[in-house]
Amino acid sequence: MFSELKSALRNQSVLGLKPAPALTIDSGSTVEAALEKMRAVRGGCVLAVDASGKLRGIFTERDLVRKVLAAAKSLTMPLSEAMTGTLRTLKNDDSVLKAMEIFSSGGMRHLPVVDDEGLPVGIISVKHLIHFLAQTCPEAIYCLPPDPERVSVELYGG
Amino acid sequence: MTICDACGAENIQGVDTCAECGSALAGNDLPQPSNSFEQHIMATRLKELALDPPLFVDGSDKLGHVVDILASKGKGCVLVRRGGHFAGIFGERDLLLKHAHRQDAWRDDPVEKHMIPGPVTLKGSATIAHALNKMDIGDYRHIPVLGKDGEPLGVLSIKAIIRHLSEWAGAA
Repeated sequence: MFSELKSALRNQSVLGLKPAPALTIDSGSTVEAALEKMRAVRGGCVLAVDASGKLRGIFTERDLVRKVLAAAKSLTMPLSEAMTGTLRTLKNDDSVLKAMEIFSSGGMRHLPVVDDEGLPVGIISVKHLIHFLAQTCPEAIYCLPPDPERVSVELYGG
Repeated sequence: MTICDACGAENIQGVDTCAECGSALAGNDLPQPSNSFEQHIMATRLKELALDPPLFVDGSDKLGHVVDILASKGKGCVLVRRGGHFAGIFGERDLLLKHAHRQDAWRDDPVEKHMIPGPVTLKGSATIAHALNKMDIGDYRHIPVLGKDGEPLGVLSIKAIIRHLSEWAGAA
């Protein structure tokens, strides 16, 4: 039953997906500083926080392309002008089902995970979901041949 | 044990031919679905999904032009053609990690200089399970899906897979 999948999604918490550490930067920084942080960890986004550590926005590689590079803006532009300020967030005890619904309807690739104070504690990406789905049926996914159309027709090896 | 489709004999799992009748057993030990989710992902072909239309550029096109295309189309990657044939892929992650920090030095570079040549692809006849395999193990976010002529029909994105499976699960 695909209600089994829905149950698995509903019963697993975001915390169980093992969110990545929250990569943060002061919201008063420049795009260049954000870029440096993202490149250092090879991450697709950085979370902008205010002086109290609360989440104020997210800057992603999509923002980099659209708002900076395509707009021929200087990398020294304020991060606050390039980041996405209004954003959806998750809590650690939210269900994976909720995460999946947000990703599906919102079209984003990253979601910040925040605590009750609004402080970022992690980041979930669509890759976490893919990994979770693969783990629900490991044999069906991991036991496939590398090339779907390559079938051995001869004996080989010993 | 693997059961021979031709004669029904039991064979040791993993052998290439049936010990009883000699028929090829390659493929008989592929995983079988044990629930409807597995059935769905192992039976649904990629060509049945809503693929992103391929965004083609020529290898000689400049990265500055590629950026404009990515931004205007709101997509994460372009497919590069050389000599009229699919040759590589270039995406916004490449811009982030390798070029954006170079100020404007990269804008006039031809995309073929920086593309990923011969990227991982799947045929339209491959299944969602194959795509999940590639995306999870290979860490790919975009997989060009090829037609029978070996040229891209479209691009399967990780977001599209999530959207499809979310809609499928929600249909219960």
